[in-house]
Order: sequence, then C-alpha cells, then structure tokens
Amino acid sequence: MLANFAGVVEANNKLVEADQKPTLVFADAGWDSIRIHNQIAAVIIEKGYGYQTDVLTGSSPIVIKGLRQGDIDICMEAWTDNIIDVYQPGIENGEIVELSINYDDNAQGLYVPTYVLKGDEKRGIEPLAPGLKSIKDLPQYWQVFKDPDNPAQGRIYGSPPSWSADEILRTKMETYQLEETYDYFNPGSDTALNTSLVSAYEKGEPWVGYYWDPTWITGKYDLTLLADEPYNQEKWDAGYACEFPGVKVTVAVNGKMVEKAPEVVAFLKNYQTSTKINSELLAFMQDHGADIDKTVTWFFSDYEDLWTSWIPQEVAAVIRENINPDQTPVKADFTKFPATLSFSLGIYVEKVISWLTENFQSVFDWLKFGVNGIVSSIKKILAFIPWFILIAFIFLLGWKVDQWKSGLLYALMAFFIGALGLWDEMILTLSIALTGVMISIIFGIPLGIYMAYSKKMETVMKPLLDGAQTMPSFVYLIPAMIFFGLGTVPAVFATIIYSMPPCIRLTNVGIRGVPIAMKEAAYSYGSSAWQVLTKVELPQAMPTIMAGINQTTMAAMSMVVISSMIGAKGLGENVLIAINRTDIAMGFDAGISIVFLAIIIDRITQRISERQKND
Amino acid sequence: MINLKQSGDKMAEKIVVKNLTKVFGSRPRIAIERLKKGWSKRRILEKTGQTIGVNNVSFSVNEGEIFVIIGLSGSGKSTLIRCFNLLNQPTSGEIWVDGENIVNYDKSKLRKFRQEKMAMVFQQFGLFTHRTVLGNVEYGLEIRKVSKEERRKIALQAIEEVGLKGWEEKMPQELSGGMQQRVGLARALANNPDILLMDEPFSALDPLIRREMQSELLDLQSKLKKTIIFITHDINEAFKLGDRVAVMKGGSIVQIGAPEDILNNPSNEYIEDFVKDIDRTKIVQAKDIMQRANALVSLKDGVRVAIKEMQVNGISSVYVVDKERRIQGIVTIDDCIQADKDGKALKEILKYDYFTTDQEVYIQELIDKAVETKYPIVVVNTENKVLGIIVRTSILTGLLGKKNGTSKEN
Repeated sequence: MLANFAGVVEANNKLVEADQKPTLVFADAGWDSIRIHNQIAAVIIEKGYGYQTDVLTGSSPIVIKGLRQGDIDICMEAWTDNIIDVYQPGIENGEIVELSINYDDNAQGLYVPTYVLKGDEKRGIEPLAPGLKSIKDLPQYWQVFKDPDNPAQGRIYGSPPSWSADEILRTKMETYQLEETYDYFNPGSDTALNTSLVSAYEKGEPWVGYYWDPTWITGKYDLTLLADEPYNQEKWDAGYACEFPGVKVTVAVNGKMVEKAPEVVAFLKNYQTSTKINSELLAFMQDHGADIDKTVTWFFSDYEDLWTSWIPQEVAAVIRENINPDQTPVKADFTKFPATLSFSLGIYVEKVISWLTENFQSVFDWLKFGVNGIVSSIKKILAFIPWFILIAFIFLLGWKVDQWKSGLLYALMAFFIGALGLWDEMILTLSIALTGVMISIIFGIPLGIYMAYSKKMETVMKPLLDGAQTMPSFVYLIPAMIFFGLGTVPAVFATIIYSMPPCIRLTNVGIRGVPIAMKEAAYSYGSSAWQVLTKVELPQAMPTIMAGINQTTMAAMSMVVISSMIGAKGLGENVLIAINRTDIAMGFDAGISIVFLAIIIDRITQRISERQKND
Repeated sequence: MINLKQSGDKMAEKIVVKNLTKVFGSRPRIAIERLKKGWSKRRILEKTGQTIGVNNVSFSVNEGEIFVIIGLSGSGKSTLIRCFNLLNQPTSGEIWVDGENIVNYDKSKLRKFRQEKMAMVFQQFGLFTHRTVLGNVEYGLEIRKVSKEERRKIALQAIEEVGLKGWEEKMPQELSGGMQQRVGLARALANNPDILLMDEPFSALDPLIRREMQSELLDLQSKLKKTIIFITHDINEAFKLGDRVAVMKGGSIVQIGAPEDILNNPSNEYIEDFVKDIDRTKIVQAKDIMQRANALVSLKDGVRVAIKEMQVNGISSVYVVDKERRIQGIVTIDDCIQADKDGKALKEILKYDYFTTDQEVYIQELIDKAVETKYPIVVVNTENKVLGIIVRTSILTGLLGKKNGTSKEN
C-alpha cells in the first residue's frame, strides 16, 4: 500500500516537473546521422536536464522552416550550404541561433562504386572504367553509365532537388561540358538517391552520382570520390570548377530556446563531433540492424570522454546513473508491447525481392526495355501533335461525350496548363499515366474476368486488392525502385500496381452482376463460353468496367505525381521541388495543373462510362 | 436406337424421357441410393443435404403437340424443363430426342443440339438489354454464324410473326412486358427449332396480356406445328394450351393426360385439389357439351315433316338444313301449324334469330348467348354445316363438370 502511495506521489511530481519544463522538439531531416545526434542529445536533455523531447520529420528545407517558426526547437545537423536560402535569413533575423559546429570535415561530390574502377574479383565484376580518376575523365566513359530512359547519353544521379548541391552540380556539368555526354538525373529525394545507389551496388552495376560523407552508405560500401580541382574561392566562383569545400554542419536552435531552456543551450554550444566519429557511429548502426538505441548506448559507453566534455560534472553523473541499465530495475510495463517479441515482416519481403532481383534481372531488364518503348512512343506521339490540335481534340472529345460547353471548359483548362508553362510537363505526366492505364487494363480486365469465374480466385484476390488499395501509395515506390532503378520505368511500374486494383475489382463486379437469366438464355441458344463472355457478359458489364477504368485512370494520375519522388518527370516533379523549396507559387502552378488535367481525364472517362450505362 | 413409332401410336414420339432424376447438391449418388431405398424427399434433404429436383420421371412428348407441365412452385417443373436442353445436367436417366440420348452429349454436340433443335423462352424473358430487339432476335443465328443479311432477313420475319414490326430498333427495356416476351418468342422462332421450351413464359404478364399471348401462341402453333413443352402453374393456362398435361408434385409426375381426362377423372386427391378452383368455363368447349342434332329438317321436306319431327322428339322448334347439312334457319311448331293451314312452304316461315358457334369456343363465351336465345345454340363448322346443338341446360351441367347433359329444352 505504502509503496503504491509513494509511486503515485512520484508520478505527480513528474507531472509537475513536466508542466514546468517545455517539451523540446528535434528536427529529423531523414538521414541516419541526424537521428543519432538527436538521440544522443535527447538522452542528455531528458536524463540530465529533465526535459521531455519529441521529434518532427520533414525534408531539410522544411525542418529549417519549422525551426524558424518555432515548431521545431533543435536541429542537430544543419547542412548550412545546402539549405542556405532558408537558413541564412533565419540567422539574420534571429529566428535561428547557431550554437556550434557539429562537424565540418565532411566531403561531397560525384562518387562511383570502387568496383567500377578496379573491378571486384570476389563478385566477378570486371573493371568497367579502369581509367576513371577524376570528374574530367567522365566523358570518355559515358557508355558505362548509360541512361536507361535515354540510351544515347550517360546518367549522372544528381543531388536531391532544392539542395544547394543541385544548383552547383548543374552548373558544374556546364563548366566541365559534361552535359554533352551525360544527362543530369533528378532522383526526386535523398531516399531515392540512396536506393538507386544501393540497388546498383548490390547488383554490381555501374553508377555515378552525387553523394556525401559521412553516411552509413559511405561507411558500409566501398565508394570512390572522383577527384576534382583542389578547392579555391576563385575557381569556385567561376562555375564551381573545383571540389566542394567542407560544409559547415551546425547545431542550430530556435531563437526562443535561449530563454526557454538556457541550460540546454549551454550544453549544445559544446556539442561537437567529427566525420570520423560519425562514420564509426553509422557503421556500428548499420552492423546492428539499424538500431539507433543500441548505437546511442554504445556511444555513451565508448565515447564517454567526448560527451562528458559537453556538460557539467554533476549532470554527467546523473546521466551516467540513469543510463546504466543494471541500476534501473526492469519493471513489467504491460502498457508497452514487449520489445523482445518484435520482429520485422519486411525483412522477408526484402529477402524475396533481393532474390528476385538477383535471379530475374534479365526479365526486369526486358520489362524495362518494353515499358520504356511504350512510354517514349506515347510521348513522341503526344509531343508530335501541335499544342492547338491537342486542345482542339480535347474540345471535340468533351463535346462528343457531353456538350460543347464541357468541351470548351476542358479545352480552356488544357490551355491554362500550357499558359502556366507546364505543357511539356503535362505531356510527360500524361504519357506515363497513359502507359500505366493501358497496361493496367490489359492485365486488369482478364484478371477481373478470371476472378468473376472462379470463386477460389476471388477469395484469394479480394484481400490482395483491398490491401493493394489501402497500402499507402508511397510503399510501391520501394520495390519499383529496386527492380527498375529510378526514372520513368519504375514510375510506370508503381502506377500499374496502384491503379490496377479498381479495374480488376469492377470488372469482377460487372461480370458477376450479369443476370443469370441472361447467361442461361445465351447458353440455351448454344453459345460457347467465349461467345457468352464476349457477346453477353462483357457488353453487359461494360458500364461497370468503364467506371473501373475511370478509377484506374484517376489512381494512375495520382501515382504518377507521387512517382516524381523516384525520378519520374512531369508535373509531379515540379510539385516535389516546390515542396522542398517551400515555393508556394511553383507548387500552386503545378498543383492546379494536375487538378485540371485530372478533371479533364476524369470527366471525359466518366461521361463515357455513363453513356455506356444509358445505352 | 429406340423405336420411334410404337404400335398403335398415330403420332411420332419426339422426346422420350426415361427414369430422369435430378439431384442438387454435392453428393447426388447418395441421394439416388436413398431414393431407391424409398426414403422421402424431405428425409433425404435432412440427412444428406441433397435436394431432389426431379424424381424418376418417365414420359414421352409427341411431335407437334403442346405438352404442358403444371405444378406448384417447388414441384420440380422448371428443373425438369431445364433438363431438356441440359441447362440442368440430369443426375441419372435418359432423354431421347429424335432417337438420340442427349444426356451423354459432349460440349460441341450439345452446342449444336442447342443451336438447331431447341429454343427456350424464359419466364423473366432473359433478353439482352445491350442489344436492340433485332439484335436479340438475331442472337441465335449469330451464334450459328449465319451471314449478316440472312439472319437479318430471318429475324425481321420472326419479329413480324409475333406482331412487333416497326419495333426492331428499340431496346427491350423500352417495351412493355408482353412485348418483351414477344421478343423472347421471336428469338426462339428465328432459330426455327423443332422443339420450343417455354418456362412459364406468360407468368410475369398481367392477366389480359396473358390471355392474348395464349391465343396468339395457339394461332402460331396451328401454323408452325412445333413440339412445345410448356411450363405453367396456372391450371387454366395449362388446360387452354395443352394437348396433354402432366401434373407434377414433389419432383414426380402424378398424372398425364388430355385436359378433359384430368379434369373429369383426377387420379388422386392432389389433382382434385389442383383442378378444384379451375374456371371450367374457360376449359370446356362447345364440342365438349354439344349434343347430336337428331332432329333436323331438310329444306326440301314439307311443313308436315317438320311438325312430325317435332312431335316425335318432343320439341317446339327445329333447325332446317340443306342437303349438305348447311344451316338454313329454324321453324317453330306454331308457325308450322299455321303454315300448314295457309299452305305456305317451309322456306317462307324460316326464322333467323338463333345463335351459331364453332366447336372450339369456350362455354364462357356461350353463357350470354344461352341466356338470350329462345332456341338451342347451333354448333357449325367453317362451311356452316351443323355439327350439333347446345341446349341451355347442358351449359350449366358443363359448368358442374358432368359431361353431356341429358335433358332437353322444351
């Protein structure tokens, strides 16, 4: 009884404390080292200073925006040069206070896997570009790094959009005249860039692109930074004709932190690591199942000299006491799911996928080739048609399926997209979406028919379809990327997976909905099964199937936009860049164009399906 | 091979059904075994979960007749008719059509059989709502790969036959129920099958339309002479249409016969119940209740012969015919006595206010005439020859189910 009572009092005290001290919010910009630093700082702040902490996730420019607005209190890794547009004004008007330099001995530039230069006997990889030493050698080897979307050029994987490296690399391409032989490929996001590098590495394929150190990837994989002119300001100003200078990675906090949590600010002012330490931490983490907690525990025991140097003696003592697991008796807490029972389903999926990529690479290559052909021919056809004819066509189509007013509205919408300067992007988006829809229909309708004919098939397919449609669409980007790399083909692939379910589902519903009397009548006249299907069931189900195709088209549109995260070009790319830059104007232009394009496609297909129904 | 023409049968047997059984369920064999052991339908359902649709049925259908199968819902009549084109695959038994057992047909033979021998008309019409009337009627021919012009020609003809000329390009759902079933009928006729299967074709129609369709079917049948198997639950319909009627109960056939036989000699209580509420006025025809016209006077006979004829038969009027027995008129006893006095000829005193009818007319339509007329109604054929007469009392007795009333008028 007494013990319980004491417990309550203790809990109350904690509540009071929590009330007095604000919760401090860390920025998680998505990469591992920032997460590790967050965790290290969080442990010190929670155990040593008694604050609660929390984390907000976003892309780097967005978390810096958050930092300026006070949604985020602490950013442990601000790569200042990469986010200079948002960062610098914040420093100037006092919204952000730079407390220390976490580390600045990092490197960035164009990397290639070392096996491309030297080969790898164990894996049976021949050196494909043995003479490649510096950036300036790249034009000689463009054929090694062929762009799958455009085999007449090499592909350099660029920086994630809106990082300042992006602008620098584009200029550097001009300066070194790399653009004659290489396509600068926008990977969409840093995650996509990682995936493209990792999957190329795992397959032993050539890859050249932007990367930086420290990361777990540079810790784990053998990469070589292509040499460049040594850094000097003069050359740097003349089209970045030299290597990247080390970027200042700072610890920055919101301006109000100084009053809100002065002791934390004092601690963070001392926070300093190095590229070496970061690489060690990242490698440790990679070797231990990407477990940040384990990594941080290891840090506290192995780097005690380092972290104790950041904080006063007595705080260090408190922390030491609190983090020692032997002294904290483990209480059974049934409100928390036991960590020992956890396992990851994803690991097995990952295994299957890597088995597939290893054994069926030629199949994927063949698919890649085929899909690419379809997309580029649609693109060519659409791009060949003069813009005014396409608009006239939209008008006539709208007129034919509905009335002239609708046709006019759709034509105006298309014109508006062009007027916003997004015509080419629209064509790109459209050609990827159309390819996806075409393939979805080609496979979806037969699958739907099969499902309608076979009870077993329906039992199997129904949960799959439900799952496929409920699964967040982002998830499809991962296998698409692993199988097909970055660019158009994985975008089409992801689009197909996401947009096929409604087509299958509604074909099934439509065929099952054909009255039995009608089918019996058809059979009673001696129809074969094929005749019943083509002369009775499909025509009867057509309105429903058309509704499915309408849904498929809309799903394809939305997926194509999302696919910009894995390097699909088009309207989505503009949205993505706008998000990363928090560029309202650009985002709105691209956004409204997507809405208009979606309305045009949706209304036209919907009207067609309604007409089917009325006939 | 089976002998099609059995001795003593004037008509060829088109379809012969032998020991046909249809069980619904996953283990039909068990159900059949139990049936042989004499288990009841209900017991089999309870113990094995198998439903007996048709239970060991044997009968034959003659070429060119309308064979009606009647029963309450659940009696197995629809199950049975679906066995004829194997929409239901019989569990056991044989169905011989034109000397071939169709039960064992493989896929392609079955398709050919369905395309050429049989066509079905459905209760819910089973029309294709995505096709025009013409497209529906053409369907069977399209399946048989008949050329476009040819099938159009045939279809248009069939549409005209069922009275839908001018509606060819309409969609079925734009038509009334009656017209939709005409489309169903035209679709069947276009195929020119030997056998028409009609599964409660008129049950979904309102009574007026139903009667009209029944008459039209009879008209068509008099021209086409198809073998028709017709399912209904309406006893009036059955007796109106059927050359022979089979009554089904619980999957079995309990009686087969001409409508009159069943009406007058119900083989058990079930059938008696079934026919109890029948409207006899719609079943019994003039020919069923007419009497031989014993007393007839020829035109060349004198007035005296007429008087004598009436006296002998104890009647007060007599019909006058020519030498081919064609009706000429009627004379009454009073007029004859007067004419005898005045020396007038028979021809001069003929009266014409009598009613004639043909022998196929239902007594329902004769009731009004019977009430109005002073004389018996004369039954004549198309050449106006006298076949018989109907007196008022025999109409009333006909309603009560006793054939050939014996009392005479006057």
